[in-house]
Amino acid sequence: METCFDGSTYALTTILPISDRIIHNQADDNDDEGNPVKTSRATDGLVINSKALQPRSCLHHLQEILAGLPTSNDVPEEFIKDLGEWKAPPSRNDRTHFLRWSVITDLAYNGRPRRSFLTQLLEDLRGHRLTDAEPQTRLSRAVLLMSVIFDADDGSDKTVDSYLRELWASMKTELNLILPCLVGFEKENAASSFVQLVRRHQIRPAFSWSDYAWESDDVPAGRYWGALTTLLPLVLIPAVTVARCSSANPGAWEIALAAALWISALQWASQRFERLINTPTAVPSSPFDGRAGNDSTPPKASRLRLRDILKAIYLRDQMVSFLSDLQRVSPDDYPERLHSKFGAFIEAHKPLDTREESRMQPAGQTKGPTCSEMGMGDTAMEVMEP
Amino acid sequence: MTRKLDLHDIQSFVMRGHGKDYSLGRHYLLEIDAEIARQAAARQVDEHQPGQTEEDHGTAAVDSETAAGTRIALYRFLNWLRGQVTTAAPWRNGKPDSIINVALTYAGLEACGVPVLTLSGLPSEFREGMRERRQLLGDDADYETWDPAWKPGDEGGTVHLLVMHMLNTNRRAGADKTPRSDQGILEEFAQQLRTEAQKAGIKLLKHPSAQRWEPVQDWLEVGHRQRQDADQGSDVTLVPDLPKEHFGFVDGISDPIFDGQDEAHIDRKVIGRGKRSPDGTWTPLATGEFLLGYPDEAQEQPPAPRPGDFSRNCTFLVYRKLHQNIQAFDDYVDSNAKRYLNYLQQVPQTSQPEQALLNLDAAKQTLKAKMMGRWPDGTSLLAAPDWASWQKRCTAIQRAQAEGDAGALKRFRHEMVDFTYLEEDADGRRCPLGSHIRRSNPRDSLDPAPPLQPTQQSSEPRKTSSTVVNNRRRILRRGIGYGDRKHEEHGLIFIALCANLFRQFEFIQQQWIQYGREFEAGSDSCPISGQRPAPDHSSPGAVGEKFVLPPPPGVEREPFLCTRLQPFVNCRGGAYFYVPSLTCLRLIAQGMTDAT
Repeated sequence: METCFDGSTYALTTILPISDRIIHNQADDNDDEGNPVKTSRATDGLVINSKALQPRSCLHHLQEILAGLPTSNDVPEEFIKDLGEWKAPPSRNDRTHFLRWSVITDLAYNGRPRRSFLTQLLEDLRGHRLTDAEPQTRLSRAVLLMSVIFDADDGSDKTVDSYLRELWASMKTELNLILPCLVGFEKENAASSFVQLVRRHQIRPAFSWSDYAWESDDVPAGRYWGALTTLLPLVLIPAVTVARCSSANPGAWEIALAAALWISALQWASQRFERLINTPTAVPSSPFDGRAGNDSTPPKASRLRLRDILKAIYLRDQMVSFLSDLQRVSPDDYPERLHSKFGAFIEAHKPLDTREESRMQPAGQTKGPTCSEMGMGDTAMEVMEP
Repeated sequence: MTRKLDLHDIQSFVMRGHGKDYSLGRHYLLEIDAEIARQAAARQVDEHQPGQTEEDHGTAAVDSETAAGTRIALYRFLNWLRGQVTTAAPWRNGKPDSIINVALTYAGLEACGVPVLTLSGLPSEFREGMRERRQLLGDDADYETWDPAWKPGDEGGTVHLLVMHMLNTNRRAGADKTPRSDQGILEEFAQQLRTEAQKAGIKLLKHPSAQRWEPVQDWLEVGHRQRQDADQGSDVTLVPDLPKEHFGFVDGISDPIFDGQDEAHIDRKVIGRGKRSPDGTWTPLATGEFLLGYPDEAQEQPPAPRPGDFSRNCTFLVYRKLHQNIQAFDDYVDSNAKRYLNYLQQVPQTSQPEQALLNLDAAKQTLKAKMMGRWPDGTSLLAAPDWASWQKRCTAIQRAQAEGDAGALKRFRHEMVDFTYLEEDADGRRCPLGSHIRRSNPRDSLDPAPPLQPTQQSSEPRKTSSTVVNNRRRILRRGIGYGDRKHEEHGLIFIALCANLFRQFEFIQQQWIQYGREFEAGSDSCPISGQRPAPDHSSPGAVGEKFVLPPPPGVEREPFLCTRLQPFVNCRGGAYFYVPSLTCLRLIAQGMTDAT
């Protein structure tokens, strides 16, 4: 999937089906086929006490596991360096910019589809009752959306596979909790199974990450063609009818049929035009179908790796501090002090050196709240490590 | 339904009633007392850091730790509680000994730290609560006599949590074959609940005793009555799973059936309990009428809080403690029975054998049945509109039971639910328009497009009536009795479940039970459960509220009037609750609800 690659990063989006199985045994956490579903500190501790729970669905179990995993936002700033394994698990891999798991239980339901006046009229004539429920589009099962952006040299399958194997190695404890809840994961040969599972269900994202210009000023050729084909029946039906009238004496039923056909075509055309007008170029016709995205190719981003970005964030903060300090300098001393101070700044922070870990925004930490902001006092460690 | 409901995520009593086996239980009302919880947490901080004073540690730090400790203790309690909850999943090893269900009031959700954005998504009637809306529900006159537990104040508290424990009284002996007493098992759970609650600074509110008024115990004992003592006129038991309430009638016969519920038997159960289309077919009601997160009968989603996980598979619960004044009901019927007997004896069409059957007791039973809308054993008045036909039917059922005639018994059971009012009894001559069951579940009575009356000129097939209006006003009933009729305090714990309190329960209570315009009864309330002041006997001309019995079918004469109706039911308190799914309970218990 070449289009998921953007210069130096790859956007991996996959929709993994969640199993319908039931996990029964409270003591051993076996599912209904007798397969053990492992628990860990994340699910055994104070926050979640899974052993006390009733039999539950894989969906419920998975949601509980995901809720128990620390995210970057959950981590108070004071503890980030001491947390080790307890920081957001995907951040253990230094190629991961961003990883998100979302459970999608079903499609949003927005009521009966909107109808045009003509459609409604025709349905009323057919005896359609508003009180009759219409079929609702639903997912056949709940799914787990996994969305990752990671450093990549290219968009090849080999690169993606290598990243997934690295991810497995860095957080297999957590993945071993998550994956048994999914359809198609095999415990034997787990790393390969994980890679295969993700690749099998990978989709191309319709909306992408940075720099993705989803709206183009140019109307793609597909739209012109779509407009033309939409207009054709509107023109052809009257033309055929007129030709028929001029060549023979049409019966009343033929004219009525032509009129009915023309009304149907008009109605169809109005709906189709509406879609053509309202649909942005890159918006797909289905949330899980990226084909419509072909109309707009994302511009290539510069080759920025995760560590470049982490360094840039770090430098931004340091520069704010530097400028703030500089404001206290007298204007007379300004040029000389600026030169010496900036030299010291360069020396201290080494903007071009992205190798030095201590001079970089730590991976796995967003600008999280402090303990006091989270209302935890000094008990935060107790909450997370019972 | 194309995709099955996640029964492991739904609390058990949402999907099915308790049935006769679960005939004993206790209800607990809990209050999360902020001050007690703070003190409990402070003690824990003190135990954790003995000898360290506030001066050493800093008052702010102690407060902060206390606050955090309070929350953690609460979450611990809720996590413990969620481990106790019985889900709607099929029972793999027979019926469990105990069933535990829980629900929270709006104040309870607030006290558990549910975010404001989520709370703001809850409908206003739920946020206001039953106490604030008592005037609308007709409970204003009884408010003075509400139990203290339901009234905030010196003696009472604020109900935050409801815990319902029902016991299987027909359970098998345990593995050690040692029979355990019912009260022993109930008390064992009570002790666990007290211990866990105490750790979290949660208070169990007191309930009055059976003799009423003095709050003495921290639970309310509930249970079904023994069937035998209430059966009169017939000991026929066509629906052995359904209990009888204190007035002596089988309760819960036409409980709704919705999509996703009891799928194995839904085709059979849906008749008379689902919704009826104009073509006469019965189908299950929409899931969204009873569970949040699904489309309802209007193909809309009822108002529900965000995020979706917080509301999907949840529902709202109406809890009303209704005292049943049996003596007043019996006295009232007695005082009208003689006049009614006289009225019945004057009906010209009544045959000689039927006349012979009529006596004062028959008149009393018939009057009660007409007020209720069913006979005590649950037989519909459409199937047996008078005493003679009911007696005849009872004999036929007994014969079928004795002969083991399954087909006949099935037919009798079928007739208990499979009927429509508009087609079979539009003028209420068999089942009076103002009777209790016709008000609370009018079926097709209010069809806005009623069937065409057949005419001699028209040979068009007659259109059937539909329940289209009623489909939006159904409630799942999970009521259970409390108290014994030999004590002063007894009645029904009315429990109803629905996805929209305002549209479903409140509408039924206000428009159909408290008023009667839809049933040609003016402002008269329901003869059984209407909340009304006692009639003023000092002014002889005042008739108070009345109940009108149309003459029997085919008889041209004036209706029989029951005037000066007494209040037979008094509300002793209640509240609206949110019944969380297991997922929702987890979100609350982990403090992880995120509505953004």
